[in-house]
This record gives sequence, C-alpha cells and structure tokens, in this order.
Amino acid sequence: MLARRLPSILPDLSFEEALEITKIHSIAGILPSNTPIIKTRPFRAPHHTISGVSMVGGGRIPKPGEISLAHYGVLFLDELPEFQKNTLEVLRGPLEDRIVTVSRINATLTYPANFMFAASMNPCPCGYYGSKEKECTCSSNSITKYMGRISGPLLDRIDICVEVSPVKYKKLEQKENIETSEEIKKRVDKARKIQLERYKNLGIYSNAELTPKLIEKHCKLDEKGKQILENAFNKLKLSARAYGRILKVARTIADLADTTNIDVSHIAEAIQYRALDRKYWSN
Amino acid sequence: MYLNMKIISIENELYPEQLKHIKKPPQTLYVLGNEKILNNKSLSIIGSRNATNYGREIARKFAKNIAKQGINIVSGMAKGIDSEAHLGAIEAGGNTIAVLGSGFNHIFPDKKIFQKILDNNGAIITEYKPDTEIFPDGFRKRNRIVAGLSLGTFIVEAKEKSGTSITAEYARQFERKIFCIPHLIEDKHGIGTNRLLKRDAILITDVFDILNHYEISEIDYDKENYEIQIPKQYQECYNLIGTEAISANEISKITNKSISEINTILTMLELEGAIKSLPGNLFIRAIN
Repeated sequence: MLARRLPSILPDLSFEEALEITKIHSIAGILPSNTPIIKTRPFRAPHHTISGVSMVGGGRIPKPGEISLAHYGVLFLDELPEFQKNTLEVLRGPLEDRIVTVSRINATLTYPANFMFAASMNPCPCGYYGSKEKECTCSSNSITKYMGRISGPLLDRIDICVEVSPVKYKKLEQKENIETSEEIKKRVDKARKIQLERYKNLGIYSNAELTPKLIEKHCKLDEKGKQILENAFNKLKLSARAYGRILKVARTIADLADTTNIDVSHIAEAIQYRALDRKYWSN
Repeated sequence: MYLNMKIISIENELYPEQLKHIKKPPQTLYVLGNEKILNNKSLSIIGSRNATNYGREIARKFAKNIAKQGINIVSGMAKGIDSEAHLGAIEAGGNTIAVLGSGFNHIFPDKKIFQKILDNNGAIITEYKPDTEIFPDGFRKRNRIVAGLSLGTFIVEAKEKSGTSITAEYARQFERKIFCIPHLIEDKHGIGTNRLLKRDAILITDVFDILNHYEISEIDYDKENYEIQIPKQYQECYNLIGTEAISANEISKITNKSISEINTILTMLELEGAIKSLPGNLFIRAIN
C-alpha cells in the first residue's frame, strides 16, 4: 500500500525525460494510441513469477524489459524473496550502470534503465521475526534461507532500508495529523530543483547519478562528518560501495533540508538507513 | 581427515583432571586445536538454541569478561547461546573449548564457528571416533562432558523442556555449581532457569558473582572503560532506551521529534556503543 503511493510524491518530469519515456514505451509497442506523450513517471510492479528475460528485455530482436519501461520512474517488487534468484541478480548491472545491453543473434541493443528500485519483504517466512506483538515461529535456519535469497551485492545497492512495525487496530481507526502526498511532493520538487540547478552543465538530473569524481566535488564533508563516517565504517563494517551511496543519500537529505553543506546529522541519518543488512544478514 | 587430531587417553597427563572425577569418564578424548588448555580452570556457558536477544547479549558479555581472567569457556557449539559463549571468549582473546556429540567428520551444526574456534587457539573435543555420525544420545552424553570439564555451569536461558536441564542434572551429580540469571516469571524462555534457581542454582547478576566462586583474587576488570559518556542532546533519547526494546517510532512519538532527527541520534548512540539495534526497528541499551 505504502509503495503504491510512491508515484504521488515523485518530482515532475522534464520535457527531455518525458520524450525518452515515450520513446521506450513506443518501441515496446505499449504506448496507448490516444497518448501522444507520457507525462507521468512510470510505476512498474511486475508479479514475482516474472522471468529474468522479461525483466531486462529480450526477444529475437530485443524489446525493452520491465527495467527499461520503468526508466525515470519506479520499479517496485513486492515480496522480494519470492522472485527467482536469477531474476533478481540481473538487476545488479543495470542498478549500477543505469543502462542495459541485451544481445541476441539478430541484434544487440542498449536500452536506458535509470529507475528507482523499490521493494518490500517480510522479515521471515511467518512474518513475525522481531515483532513485539507475536512470537516468530520460524527456525533460525529457515530465516537464514529466506534472507539468503537476496544476495549481498543486491542488498548493497539498496540505499535506504526502513523497517515498519505492524499497525495496531486502534491506529487504523484514528485519524492522525499526517503529512499528505501533496505536501511531501512540494518538498521533493524543491529538492529536485536544487539538484537540477547544481548539475545543469553535467548532463545528469539527480544525486543518484553522481559519479565517484562528482561525489568528491559535491558531497564534501566537514571534519566531524568525516570522523563519523570513518567510525561507522569500522564499527558497522560497511562496503566500499556503501561509502558512495551513503554520501549520495546524505546529499539528498541535505537538499531536502535546503542546506548547502552536508552536516553531521545528515550523514548520521543516512547511515541509519543502511542498518538493515547488519541486523538480518550478518549471521 | 584431520592430520593434527590428537588422541588423549585417561592415563595421559594432558587429560583434564576435572573430567576424571565424574561418573564414567570417557576413556579417550579426540582433540583438535590447542590441547594444552584442557587442564585450565573452566566454566561452561550454555542455553537455548532459539535464544532471545537478551540471552545472547548476556552470554557474550559474561563469556568475554570471564575468559579475560584466564578461565576457559566451555560450551556445545550449538546455535544461540552456545555460539555466543564461544564467540565472546574469542573476542576477549581468551580460551574456549567446544564439546561435540559426534565425530569430527560429522560436525553439527556448521563449520563456520568450528573453524573460528580452531583459528583462535581454542580446542574442540569429543569422545567419539571421527566417523561417528550424529545421533540423539550423543548430545546427551556430550552434556556430561560439558558439565564434567567445568568447575561450574552457567545456564543463561532454558525453556520448560530443554536439553540444558540434562547438563544441569549432570552438574548436580558431579557436585559442580550451577549459575543462572533471573528471568521474568512470565517469560517462557526462562521457565527452565527460574526452576533451577528455585531448586539449587546460584542466582547471579554480574560477572563477580561467578568469579568469587573461582577464588580469583585479583581481577583485571576495568570498569572505567565501560562508563559511556552520553552527550547532553542525546540524553533524552538514551533514557527512553532500556533493556526492554523500544522502536524508533515510539521514541519519536514520546519525544515529539521527527523520525529523521531520531534516526540521527540513534546512529550516533549506536556508534558510541551505547545502544544496539535489533530486528523489528527496535533498540535496546547495550550491556557491557
């Protein structure tokens, strides 16, 4: 439910982005006849029975797959561990390179695949591991097996992991004062505008696309921030890939807060979003 | 398979003295790793496989601090409490002994911790020939060696029906001490240990309670190091986190701070080593 709301807070499309999305949908042959140009960001949520080929694209003359159809939008995989292992592993390359090259005997084609990857899963087969309300009935073996379906390298490419606790009945009824999607979207748009302005001559649109060289330039830390990150690396045993990704997330948090420099609290918050792997995948 | 395996008979001087005094001691021990530690003073730390986070924390902490005093930590290499006990001893640079209920060619449950113990100067022993397969009675007999090797047995967690009660029974038979920590009476992970406490086990709440029974006079346990300084701005948050786990959402609600602010504070506290994060978005105070 939460993930389905994701498109409602995504920033508006630029004209160039809209053109690219339309082109891909047109090539795939799924552009509706009454739609000359796609104006909203795509949200793709394939079922977990999907094959690796339809994920990345294929055919005699390769057609774009789900990851390309989600270009500049969201690819959402519900119940992540239920997907076939090879379907998930093919995502690794595109998540890093933002393009995918599909080779067949008749043609070799490169499609763009710059998407936001979102996924959801249970903490264990019974769904109650770590719950305060009900005790988990899974054996530690079955939990390890369940978690093991998601490989370390794939997990490493997920920047933000959040655990959600079960909602109590009382809360379902009561109406709380919460931020609406429109309000959140305003913040997102503002942050995106800052990024567009910052990267206008670089041919990229967002923090996610920063290369290591650009990270050095745009994600500078002060002494204290550096110290915290170093401390986190030693204590939490993060990977080299995590380093760049934490900096990018911290940059985004700083943009959302409308501050020019990344400060300590931004970096600490970004580290917290990396907390999941060491809790569930450490043993 | 294992070229460096040693076979130690009961007449051998390396054979652990403590073990000779039990009823029906094993006539031969098959030993991998450091056989010289077998005659050091030992304490066994055991408990459930399917343990709570609290139990794991306690097992590791006690193993660490007791191993530091040069006392061997003996356990059964099972998942849960047993593993934590071995790992705690290794972390402290101390000695640890794992007792198996099968031969070295049939290691249970996994080779990871097995290798880790060997790499860290520990010992792994069994009374069974390398080809002996895993069989239910093996675990029961293994518990007899665990209890027999040690001056005392510390049972961290045991449910109502538990293999650890067999070890306790052996310890009682051999007139060795049984130590337990108290659990909430409604906690099903502690029914077995609470029952032992009611009967004859010694209630302990810190490492010294055990060490006193080992007649160790000089204890190098620097308490200073464990006093963590909490910066003022995190104090409110830190006070909410106790030994009972609390979720980030709850903290955010109580303190009226945004979740991103709370996430920042939690990271800082975790890096300081003041708290620990648990599955389910929960946090507890770290025990040192």
